[in-house]
Amino acid sequence: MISATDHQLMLHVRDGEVASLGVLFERHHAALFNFFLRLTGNRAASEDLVQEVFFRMLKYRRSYRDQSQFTSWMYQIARHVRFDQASRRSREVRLEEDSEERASADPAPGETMEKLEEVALLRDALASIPPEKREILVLSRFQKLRYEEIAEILGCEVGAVKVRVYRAVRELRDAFFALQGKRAS
Amino acid sequence: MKCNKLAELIPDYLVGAADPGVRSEIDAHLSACAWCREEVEGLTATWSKLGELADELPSPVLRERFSAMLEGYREGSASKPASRRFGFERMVQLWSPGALALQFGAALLCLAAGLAAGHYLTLANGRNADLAEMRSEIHSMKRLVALSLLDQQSASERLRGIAYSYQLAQPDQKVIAALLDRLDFDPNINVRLASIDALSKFSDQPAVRRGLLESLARQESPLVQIALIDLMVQTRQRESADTLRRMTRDQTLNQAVRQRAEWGLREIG
Repeated sequence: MISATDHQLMLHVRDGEVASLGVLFERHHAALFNFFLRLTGNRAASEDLVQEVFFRMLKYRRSYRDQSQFTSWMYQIARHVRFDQASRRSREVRLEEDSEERASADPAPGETMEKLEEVALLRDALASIPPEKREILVLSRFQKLRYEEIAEILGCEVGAVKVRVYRAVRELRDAFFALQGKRAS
Repeated sequence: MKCNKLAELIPDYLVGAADPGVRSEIDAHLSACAWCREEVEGLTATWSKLGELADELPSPVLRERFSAMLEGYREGSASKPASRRFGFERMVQLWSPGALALQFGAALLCLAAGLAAGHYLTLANGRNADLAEMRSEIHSMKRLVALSLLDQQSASERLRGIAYSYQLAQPDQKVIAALLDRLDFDPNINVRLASIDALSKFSDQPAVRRGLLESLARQESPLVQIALIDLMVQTRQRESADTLRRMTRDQTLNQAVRQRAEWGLREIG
């Protein structure tokens, strides 16, 4: 079971062996968590979203096809979950304000102050670019998906993905330099 | 190579997926064009800097919540009368070539039954069976959603979970336990009050009555205490008299709560 591919495991889940979802959870929950964390900057919300992705995998397991690509299918669900959450949040009156936690890992010992500040600036720059550009950077740079996979997830041509990646990196670079300039002045 | 072609090639270059031929073509262009060189250096530096934003680990609670959800789902599926897959396999078995006599008999029987019962009645029955199955599926899904929402970290989601539990005509012990748990331990007062409302619907069940009474002794918020006293009166819970009496004497309690407890005692008689 452990050596089975994601695709084989998901086929088992589809055919009623839902325990196999546990193995898929172990393999992918941390990556999904970081995907959401980089898009939302909120740990608690990101955990809720991961839970929702696995819930929908169960709910829609019968829609998984023999020729489906598991990773693409999972990220398609993740994007829907994120979209639904974003639109629900804009409709609902919040009962409690989010404690907007910063997505920050503990600094490694020995890291200089300058380095830490640069990382913080980069994180701010990433948060400042439009969500669709941030998303494509997260998918390509952090989730390490191939452009072909991203094209399947986004439902567009591979060429279009590359153009979007190029534009997103440029915008991030400009945002980073702008923040750096602001801090220096 | 022209400068404008670079935009198409850079993404592959960044991830190291460019063919060696393309790569040397880019390098040749960069050594000749200062503008492009600066552009690519900036983009490559930004791309590699992103690697410094380290991954984080989710809290262990996420795994626990997932396991609870999976378990809830499996229990929900197991309680269904018969799965569609089972029905399908049985059908295939019955219609295998080896069962010819059975098939012939079945065909005759179907014809006779069809004539006797009539076309419309058959249709209506089919529809009823489908509806019953759908209702059972919806019920088990609502139960699962309620349980999953009651466990969420956001109070608004937990309130939605309570709202879902209202829709369950017959909630099982797990949903009731989750509601009692929210009443006792939820940090948000709105969630605790909402769970009292939800539980009041099932106050004829002994486990719920006992849970509510035990919770009354434990609660510290005056609003929740008063809501529970009101529920005791509304459901005529005589067994709450001792607790109410103790509350009337407890000087550490809010005065309004003590007065409400006195009123409650009188009402229950």
